[in-house]
Amino acid sequence: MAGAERNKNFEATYLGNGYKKPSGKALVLLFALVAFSVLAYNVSSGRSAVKLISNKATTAKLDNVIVQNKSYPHLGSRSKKILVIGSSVFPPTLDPTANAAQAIDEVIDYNVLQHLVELAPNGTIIPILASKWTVSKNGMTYTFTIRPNVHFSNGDLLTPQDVVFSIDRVLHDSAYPYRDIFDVKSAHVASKNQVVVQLIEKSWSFLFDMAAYSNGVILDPATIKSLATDPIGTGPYVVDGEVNNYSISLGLNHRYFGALPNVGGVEFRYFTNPSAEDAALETGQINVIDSLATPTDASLFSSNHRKYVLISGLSNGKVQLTINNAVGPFRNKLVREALEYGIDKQQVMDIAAGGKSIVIGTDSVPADPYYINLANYYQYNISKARALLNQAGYPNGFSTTLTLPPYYYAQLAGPAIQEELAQIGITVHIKQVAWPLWLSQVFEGGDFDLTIIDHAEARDVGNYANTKYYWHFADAAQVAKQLASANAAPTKQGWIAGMHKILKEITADAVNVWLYVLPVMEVHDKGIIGLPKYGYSESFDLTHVSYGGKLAKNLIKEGYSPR
Amino acid sequence: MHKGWWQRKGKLLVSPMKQRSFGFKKASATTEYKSNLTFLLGATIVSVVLAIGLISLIWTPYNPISYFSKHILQGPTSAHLLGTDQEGRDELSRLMAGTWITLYAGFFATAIGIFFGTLIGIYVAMFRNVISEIIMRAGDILLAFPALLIATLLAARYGSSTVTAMAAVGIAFIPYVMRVTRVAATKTYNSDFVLIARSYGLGKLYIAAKHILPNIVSLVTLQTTLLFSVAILSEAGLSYLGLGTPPPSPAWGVMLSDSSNTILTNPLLVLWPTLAIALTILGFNLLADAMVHRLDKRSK
Amino acid sequence: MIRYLCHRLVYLTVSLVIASCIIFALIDILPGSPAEVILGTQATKSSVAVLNRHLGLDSSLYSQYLHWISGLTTLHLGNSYISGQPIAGEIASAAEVTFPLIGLAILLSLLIATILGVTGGISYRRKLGTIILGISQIGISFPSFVAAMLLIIIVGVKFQLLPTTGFSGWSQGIVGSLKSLVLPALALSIAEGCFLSRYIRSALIDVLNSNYYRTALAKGLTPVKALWRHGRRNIAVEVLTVSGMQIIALIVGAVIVESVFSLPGLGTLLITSIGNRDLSVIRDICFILSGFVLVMNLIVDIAYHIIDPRAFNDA
Repeated sequence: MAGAERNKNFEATYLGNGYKKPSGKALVLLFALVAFSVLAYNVSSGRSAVKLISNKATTAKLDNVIVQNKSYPHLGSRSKKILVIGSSVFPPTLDPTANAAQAIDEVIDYNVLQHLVELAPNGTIIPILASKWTVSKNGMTYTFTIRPNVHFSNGDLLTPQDVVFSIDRVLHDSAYPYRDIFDVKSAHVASKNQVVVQLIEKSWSFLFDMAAYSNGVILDPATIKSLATDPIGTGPYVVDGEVNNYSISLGLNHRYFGALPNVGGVEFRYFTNPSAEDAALETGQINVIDSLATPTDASLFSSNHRKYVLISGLSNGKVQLTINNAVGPFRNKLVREALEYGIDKQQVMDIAAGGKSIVIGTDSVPADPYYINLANYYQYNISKARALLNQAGYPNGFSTTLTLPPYYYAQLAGPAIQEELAQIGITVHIKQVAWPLWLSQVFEGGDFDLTIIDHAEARDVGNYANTKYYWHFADAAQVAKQLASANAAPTKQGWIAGMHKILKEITADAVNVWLYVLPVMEVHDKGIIGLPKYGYSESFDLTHVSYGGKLAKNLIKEGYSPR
Repeated sequence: MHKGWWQRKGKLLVSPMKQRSFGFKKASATTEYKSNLTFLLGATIVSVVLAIGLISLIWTPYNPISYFSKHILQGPTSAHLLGTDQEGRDELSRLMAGTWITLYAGFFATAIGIFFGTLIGIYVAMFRNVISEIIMRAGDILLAFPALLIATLLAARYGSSTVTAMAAVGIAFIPYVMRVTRVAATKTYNSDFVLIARSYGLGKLYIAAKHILPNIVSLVTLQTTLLFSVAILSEAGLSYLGLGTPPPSPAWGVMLSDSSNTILTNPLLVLWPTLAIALTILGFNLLADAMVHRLDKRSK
Repeated sequence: MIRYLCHRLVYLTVSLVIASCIIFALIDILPGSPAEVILGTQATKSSVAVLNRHLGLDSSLYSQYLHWISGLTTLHLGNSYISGQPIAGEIASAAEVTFPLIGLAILLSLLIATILGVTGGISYRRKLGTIILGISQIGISFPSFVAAMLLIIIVGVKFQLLPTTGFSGWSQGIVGSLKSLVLPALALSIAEGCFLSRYIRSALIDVLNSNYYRTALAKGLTPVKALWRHGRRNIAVEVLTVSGMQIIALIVGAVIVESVFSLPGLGTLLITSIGNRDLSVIRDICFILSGFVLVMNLIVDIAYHIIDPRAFNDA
């Protein structure tokens, strides 16, 4: 039969002709192994070697990058260098209105597609396509004045009709990932250059939502079809091309209404292996790492001030131990409190974020207008945690499962929390799942005990008002009422006070264990200015990036890095 | 009982003719001795590894999964002989504890492959019918699904763990083991003494258990040894892709993939698990070498 | 020979069909849907359902399978659920990286295997032979991603000889692209080459100890000539015997190495597609990879028959 001759092959293979007649190799083999170890030791102590790379080699490599890069034909001169940015997750599509992935916003948002108002890196709201706006007394009607003489990169003039079209698209296209946080009732053109937006209810976060989420991008109606590959916007960059899973090139948009960035263009390059990404920066193949995957690698660059600049700032990401409030022991508030007391959040942050962040203790980050730090609400106290467990009827503890998504912070924080909970008698089994499984099992299915996740969405206290949200907060309906009354507050102070009340309440109820703010650590070659210092917007805002030069004072204040 | 084959000395294969080419020395009388040495070295390495694994069950210098945030990524010191990793855990303790997990993972995968592969192989050799033909073809198709593909699917379905990864590796082993076993079992099944047994009308199950299995047991042992090394390497590769053992566990593959994130700052953390894997595989391969030598001698 | 070929082709077709069924069934039971991934942590049950309907994921399994198979046979693979791009284009551009990478790795591993195997074989009783055996032993005992990282550090960062990451694309210049594939291919081929070298070595030793070789020497041929005339076929058979397994190992290795070197190949595409639950892309890549293995096994078998005609007698 057909397989017979192959069986012969396999017989030969596995009977192992290859292993015939071993000769006097035993000792020499061992010697070779030792020699190899010595060699590997020497070679791999390449830490010093890494630093020896001369600047010459680096710049030579850089020049190569520019000369080799032929994807910018419209550039008049090659004198301006292309900025190559190393990043980790390739955007699944280039259409931010079709997919919630942050990787899309990082490249496209603000850089290619712009909003009426945007977030400066420090989180303040700045006018972009709207030159100014007014709010009606009841806070339900916004009138935006559209900036004159703004063109899309294909030459189309930006009109109020385009703005209304973009807002209507969110209202009528159910696939928008952030549609649920869209408070708009209707929008219409009020005059030659004005758009009026009517809200469903008063919202203190409307402008912020329009700036932060893809709901706010202003699109050219004529180019909707090509949004997934070639989004056409008003920003300083245009998409020049992409290589799937490898790179995205942005060229300059010469029709941009503002001052163009002082670079020849930008290329985002994607790395799955953080060490390879670091090596690429050290060999000059990339100029910027937008977010260091491993906090420990910061030491690789921080010790070399002459070549690299290390920026570390905070983001909107709230890394939390999410507790399923509806299962087993966790239904009991005492048990959840025991978790709060039993986890040394500072210690967890030191490990998972390299000490580069702050402990928050509630669902709020410093960029929030209603920021409040409740890190000390529960002081780390093992004996108190044990006592609470005892009181709850678990004197011998219990065992539970911690489901970890495949993110580095979770991989680091998971074992740390496992160890800490072991000290108060809770046995934690770690289960590692891929992202889609996490989404379907934990997030959609609510089938989990504990999980560690970064809630990257800004100002998402509303989640605690959602009775169906995956942590199954029992008092969600009550929080919903409080949230509505806070939003309806006549003054900003009233709103903030209302939010503080909610935050204190969810913390007192120990709904989740809020650990720390996800830090953003950037490294870039010296001499590049204008990169965003914080991660408060999902965009990696490159509007003001420049090789050399000096950054205006107001931009530094808005959070663009002056060095 | 006869002595173990490695204990027998004396009978030597001497080449009948002086070899001229490439200045070979005359085939010496030391072949047997060297093969014994191979076995001894292999056995020593494997037993040392096993012993370390056993010791780690009772004692390690520190708790292998307890972390100390103040001790993150220290080089080798007198307190931590091999240094500490990115969570401040003692590398030596992890390496020791990892021995057992790694061996267990290798054993698990190999056991799946060997058990099912051998059973199916013997069945296919003894029964020539439609079912065995279908099984053979199914084996061919299974070859087209590398362990990686199976592991990815299993991990996507159940979450990645040692069990899913090693089940995948084990399943991918089955067609190979099946083929090799089939060939050897067919040979035995067609040999004279089995023919006689068959002519007595003995049951097939009896023949399989009493005649065929004992005759292929050395081959199966050899396969086990070879596949064991492959399984350990696969575990490391799958862990690197996040499809294997989850992180707090100190399996060597996990330690490797963890430390590969910090290879630029702390290359030594990569070296230790690499050495451990290499040494273990060396031990098992040496054992396999010695076994092949024995099989060769037998077939002559 | 022709009868044999026809037989094998029919057999290949049947295998491909069965493999496609298995792949379809396995991938269909994966938890999670593209819609859930697209909507991320903002999803609600109703929005997921709506999006799944948009994507055509609510039709019956049977019709989905037929749709897929007819697409495969006519090479109309449709668009990706996630990126909305034609799958054929995505796969083609990824294959442009992976298949040259595997090809280069095969060449390099043959080179390594020949050098180590032949020197090891002809000097198998001397210290040199033992040392070479030791080298090959070490070569097969560490994982390819470690080899890849060491290469990045040594060749890429320390000596800056070759680029450590990246692949500029064939249209950007063949030399540059080849250069960027050298390190990944080397990382892949070290283990495979060392593995193969052991087989070459043993085949060579068999030849050196054989009667026909001694006869050839007695006839007055030089050792080199005698080996070339009488030994090369045996060695080729030996190489072919393991090459079927090697190809599988290379595919698996390629996925890992692509991940280390950030190459935009099939492995990277497969991993990201699985991460995005881009079911149609996963299916197509799995099918291509299994098909590749089946076809390569067929080619190996045919080559085996050409080199060793005795095999026909068994068939």
